[in-house]
Amino acid sequence: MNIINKRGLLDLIAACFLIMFFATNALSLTSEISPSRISVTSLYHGSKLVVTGETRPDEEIIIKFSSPESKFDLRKKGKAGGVFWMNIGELEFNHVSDVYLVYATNKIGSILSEKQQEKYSLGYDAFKRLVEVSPVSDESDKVKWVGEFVKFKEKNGIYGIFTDRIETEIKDNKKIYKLKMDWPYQAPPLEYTVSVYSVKDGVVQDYNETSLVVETVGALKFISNMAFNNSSVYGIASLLIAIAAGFIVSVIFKGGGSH
Amino acid sequence: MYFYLPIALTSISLPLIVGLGLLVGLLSGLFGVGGGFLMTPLLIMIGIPPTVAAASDSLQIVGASTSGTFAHWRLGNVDFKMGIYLLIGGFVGGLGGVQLIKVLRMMGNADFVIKVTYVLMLGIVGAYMFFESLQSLKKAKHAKQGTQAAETPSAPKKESGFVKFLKSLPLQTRFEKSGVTHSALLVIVLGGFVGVLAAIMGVGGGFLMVPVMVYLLRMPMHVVVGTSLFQILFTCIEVSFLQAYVNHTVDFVLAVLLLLGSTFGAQIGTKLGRKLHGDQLKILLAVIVLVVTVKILLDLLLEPSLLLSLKGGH
Repeated sequence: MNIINKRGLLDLIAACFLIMFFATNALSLTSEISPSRISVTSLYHGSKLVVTGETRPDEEIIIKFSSPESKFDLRKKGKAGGVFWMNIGELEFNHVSDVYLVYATNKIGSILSEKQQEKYSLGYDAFKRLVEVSPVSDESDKVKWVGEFVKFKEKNGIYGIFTDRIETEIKDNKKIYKLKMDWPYQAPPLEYTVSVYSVKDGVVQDYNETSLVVETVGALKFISNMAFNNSSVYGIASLLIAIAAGFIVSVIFKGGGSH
Repeated sequence: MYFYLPIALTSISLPLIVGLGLLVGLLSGLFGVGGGFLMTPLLIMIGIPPTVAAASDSLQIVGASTSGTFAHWRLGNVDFKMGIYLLIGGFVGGLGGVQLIKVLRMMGNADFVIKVTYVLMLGIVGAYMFFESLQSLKKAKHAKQGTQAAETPSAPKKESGFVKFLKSLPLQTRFEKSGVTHSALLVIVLGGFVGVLAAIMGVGGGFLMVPVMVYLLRMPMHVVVGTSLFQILFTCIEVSFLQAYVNHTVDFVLAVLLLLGSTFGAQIGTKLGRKLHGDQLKILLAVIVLVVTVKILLDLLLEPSLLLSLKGGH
């Protein structure tokens, strides 16, 4: 009985340690996004966004904004007839996110191993390996066009990797991080995934995900729905309004007696 | 102040877009062109997806050309009969042009053919208009013949074989407003020719129709402007509806913002046009067409900063 009690007590202590160990690990990384919902109204031109949280003091932080993977068909430019730069065909990009914004406290290549980058799709090196492009002649052709894809998206403001935007401070043996950013107006209304990773020794120690909903509301939502779901009425209404506008302006000018 | 566009899914500056509308509306009222060859590339440049830019511009042209047509109609500058004949030809030509693109695409290298045709047409039309108008202006200055000489293109003193041939064609019809007599067949065929080219190049065709009316149909420049706008109005009504119905690419908010500027621009252009002689108008249009040609040529010759682009546009 005594032995059983002793054994039970030891088990209980071990279990407590285990629970405490996992609890501290699981709770070590926190994150909060504000606002978590962005309403796109008529005067929308992007939004201020803040991601905050805490982690262990010796860990780096990576924050990734991405949309569901999809397919993109783009035109590619090249030299036709050896002289003129023009569209020479189309390329299909598969398994790519429309928006890919990554913020880190350090260069991703220096804080995360290649394997881990690929596992969590973090950084352009991993991105380039994971994306599929067709038609391409060989690997170097693929690398070239994925590079062009990234350039194209960066120019639109919806792709980027930034290592100087997250502010950190150590307080009560915790690293408190804060990312203040301008959410780009070019990012279409979608549900985005915001993934936060804590990294140490080249390995992701912990991560959590939350969603960011960007949605059109009010008149914009009405117009958008009508354009796609009731396109004949939308076409006719648009025409009538355009003609009426032209006519009214014409009458205003005549009414003004300017000729 | 910025506005969000529900179909283009981007945000644009209000003064910029209204200013663009005003500029293109001005050209529309002044020269009788829709301005698609200018507006669509400008919209793409400020971040509007090409398909949405072309379709919304088409709806904008409906408003601007309504405004311009009314203004010209009040001034007695619209030859409805001529406009309708050209429209019939343009409609048939447009359908033919769409089929021709399909054949070209099947043969491969369609984009190359289209781009080269576009540059050649713009270059030839612009250069011809420029030199012809310059000569007319010089002649008018020397002869001091006043408005008459400037209003009508330099008519040959002796009837050429070509003119005789045109007069021998059947269905000769008098177009009172333009003061010319032509075979209805000729007008329809010319309308069809512009329709084919417009469909191939993906533009409204105003910049081609204007020279056709001036040089081949020998219409007075001011009637050309009014009649061209009347014709453009109907072409763009058809295109806008199809783009909205089939492709869902018409951004109503974008079109309305452009209209804020273009409808007023068209009125101002019409009034400004009255103060200029026909040849002065032609030479201005020629300069704009030539500048656009040079811009397209540079785009063709210089390596672009981005080698990928969205589909659509010219």
